Order: sequence, then structure tokens, then C-alpha cells
Amino acid sequence: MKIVAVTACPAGLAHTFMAKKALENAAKELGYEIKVETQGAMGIENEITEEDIANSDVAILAIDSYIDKINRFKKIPTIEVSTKVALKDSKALIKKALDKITK
Amino acid sequence: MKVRDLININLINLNSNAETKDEVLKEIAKMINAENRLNSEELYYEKLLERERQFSTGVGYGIAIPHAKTDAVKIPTMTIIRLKSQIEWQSIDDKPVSLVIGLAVPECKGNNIHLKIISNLSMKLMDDDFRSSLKNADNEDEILNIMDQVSF
Repeated sequence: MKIVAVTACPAGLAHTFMAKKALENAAKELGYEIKVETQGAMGIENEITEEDIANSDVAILAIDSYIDKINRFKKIPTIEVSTKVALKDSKALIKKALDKITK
Repeated sequence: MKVRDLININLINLNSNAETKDEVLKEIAKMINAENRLNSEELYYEKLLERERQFSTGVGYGIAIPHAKTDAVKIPTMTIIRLKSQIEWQSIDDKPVSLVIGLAVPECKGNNIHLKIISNLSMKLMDDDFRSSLKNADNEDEILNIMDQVSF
């Protein structure tokens, strides 16, 4: 199971990066591969490519504001939530995203 | 740039008497301004309030990270305030806050090293050991030593 994710918050200083770490930690614990792109104060980092998307089963967008290149994710099942949801319980969020695939 | 370019002993208060969120935000602005790192204490404080109104910076685990990116900031800065009594901060996990990390960032674009350090700090805060070491540090020097971990 492979997941791609994007995190973004208003100032791009704190929540963006905490949500990234929360998602990475949760994916590791659940035994899934994840690549998390951040759109923070430094712009896009660890950018998710078309190839990443083609090789992934689901996309998680943990975003509080508009993000660049959102159309990339049209090709795979996508779940969109706030960064708060990722911070609060990333494991539950990943499980919820996986439900999207199986349904 | 190292983390110690962003924080020094005068930007740490391990025994704050602040009793409300508003008092903490004022204390942060005052501390940073006293170090001559702001263009406007009032405007920076207003920006902190504005950010809190968007949604709370209480990130859970008893920690809040009030922050503002604004022209009111002259020099990128981190502050650490440990509260004598816990404060309600409308946090994600509904728990009161005992450790506050205040951030001040000038309005700027591009890949700045201070932004990299701050994003490192944010990621480190998801680490249980890092959080508890900040909460249990005995003095300001110990805090600075812990913060060195987020340098490059």
C-alpha cells in the first residue's frame, strides 16, 4: 500500500510540518509507504510527481488553505481534511483513506 | 545560521506567571521587542492574535506555537515560555497548555535557513523525548542545548 500526501497551513511554519511528521510516523507504525509533500513558507518541498501518483493507491490532503497543483490528484482516490485532523489522529486518518480504496 | 541566532537566554522564561492566552502573547511580543528584534511590538502582537483567530495554535501535548510572519518582525526569532499554571488554549486535544513556543518571522519569500530551522523544530515537536526534555529542562542553558538539535 502506497500513500501520497500534501500538508499546508496558513503561515506554513508549524502545522504543515507537524502534520507531515504525524503522517509519516503513523504510516510507519501501520506498515505503509508514504511520501509527504509540504507547501509551507518555503514553498513546495519533497514534491509529489506524476510518477509518485501513478504508483500510489490513495492521496491524503491535510490542508487548511488553497494548495498549488491540486489537480494532480484527480487520478487517484483522494481524501481532504484539515492539518488538525492529521495532527490529532493520523492513524485514523490513514485508515479512513484506505477505506476509500476498498469501497 | 544556527538555532542560537534565533533564540538566546533572554528569549526564554521558564517561570511565567501569565494566566491567560492573551497575557502569554503579550509576553512573547514584549520579550522579542526587548531584544530589538521587532519593527513594531504592537503590530506583531496583533498578528499573533489574528493567527489565533484563524484556528488555535494549541497543537496538543500541552504545547502551543503562536506565530506570525509579518513585516513587524525585524529578525527571525524563537521564544520559549514555560507556564507556572496551565492555560486553556482551545488545543486540538482539548488539554491545557504548559509550554509555549512563540515564533516571529519576517515577511519574505524563498528558501531561508531560518524557515528550515523552524520547520525542523515543528517536526521535532512530534517526538515524545524532545517534548519532555523541553518540559523538564532545569534552566535556560539546558533549553538552548536541547534546541541545538534543530540546527543544521
